[in-house]
Amino acid sequence: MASRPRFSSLLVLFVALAARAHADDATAVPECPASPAAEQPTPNNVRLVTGSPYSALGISQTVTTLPDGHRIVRRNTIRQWRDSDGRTRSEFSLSSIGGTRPLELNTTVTVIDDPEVRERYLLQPANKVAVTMPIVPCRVNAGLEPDLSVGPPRPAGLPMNVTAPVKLGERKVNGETAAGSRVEATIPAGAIGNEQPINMSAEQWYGKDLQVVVEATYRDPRTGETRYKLSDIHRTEPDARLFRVPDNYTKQPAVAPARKRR
Amino acid sequence: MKTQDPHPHLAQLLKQYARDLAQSAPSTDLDARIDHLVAEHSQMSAPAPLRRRRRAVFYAAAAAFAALAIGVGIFIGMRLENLRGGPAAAQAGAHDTLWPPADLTMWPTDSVSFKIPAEYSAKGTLVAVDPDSKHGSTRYWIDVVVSNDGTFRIEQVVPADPTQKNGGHDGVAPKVQ
Repeated sequence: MASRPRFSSLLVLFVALAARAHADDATAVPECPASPAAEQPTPNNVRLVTGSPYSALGISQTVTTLPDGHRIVRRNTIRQWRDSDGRTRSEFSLSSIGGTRPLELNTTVTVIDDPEVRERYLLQPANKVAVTMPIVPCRVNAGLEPDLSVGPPRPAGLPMNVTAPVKLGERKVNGETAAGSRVEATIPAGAIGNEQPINMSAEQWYGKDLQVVVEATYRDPRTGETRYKLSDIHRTEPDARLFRVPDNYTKQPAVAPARKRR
Repeated sequence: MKTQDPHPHLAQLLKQYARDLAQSAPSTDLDARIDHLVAEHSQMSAPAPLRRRRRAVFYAAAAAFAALAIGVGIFIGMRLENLRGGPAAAQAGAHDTLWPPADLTMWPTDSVSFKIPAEYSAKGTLVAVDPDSKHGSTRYWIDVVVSNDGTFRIEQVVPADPTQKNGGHDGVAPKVQ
């Protein structure tokens, strides 16, 4: 008769272990694709970085010099926060975006990513709405070197040749130890109606502790030079309220926008 | 006062002229010509305000016709633009050759994709608009990708559905695949 309670205990233990294993599986954070260029696009993947809280201001400035000497300066900023659990808040102050079809914005967009509940919130202050969409957190292999094994970036369908990234060593950027790398690219003569080859370059410095780009320079003779720098860096835990949707906001799931029927 | 008898030869000619005159009847041609000249004269000597009024009516009719022609031209132009989806539609979905390309990943970065409602300005640039504002030109969804490596790019420009409320816009929204 003593064996019956023992059997029941084993059964309960087995069920509990199975449930725990299932829960672990459901909350397991997979690794991010090693090279997005080589993978199918995974737009809802959000990189999860835990145990490295910070707040900082990233300023990106693009200067385009016209043939008559006039200069167009476009400046956009990202105010960013991350807590120890990997939640992030980004406030994008967008003035204009250059390119073949420049976009004038003059707007601020706030985005909160909460990997724990696997949701992204885009705040619309005008109507007090938080548009929600599901995200899939993933972990980046904590290797602090650029992944050069995948070879040069492969811009899909673009008529350009890109060199393999070159390591630039380490240096201090705003008190952060940063590792640098650089790639160069060329659009061959005639590819887009150009008489001469167009030479471009990208240089990025990656904060080894912060695990974000702390400085970057992009050069393209067609659009000018873009310089990005992270400043006002604080390594303290940000206020937890920054990562919550305000109480007076209504959550609404994002829907695919209506596009023109053809 | 008594006049002298004319010369016999002249008297004979006068008699012949009198006979011819007695035999001749008024010409219908002449009457018509006289009527025409009288009518023409009366038209030319019409009061000035009446002429001005007629001229004004003529100019007004011409202006109305020109305005109608311009209106029809604009309408046809708008229809054609809508059918073609506007200047941006031709480029919608096309890859840009801007540097650095979106899939250049030397280091891990975090990106956010937005959809922003916009219209073309008179300067030819895209301008983000309030989705509730009234609009006359074609609206577009602009897919914008911003990354914390300092890159801000326009990924795609797609015409909005004009049959939907606000052209299907609810303001800046996350990009849903």
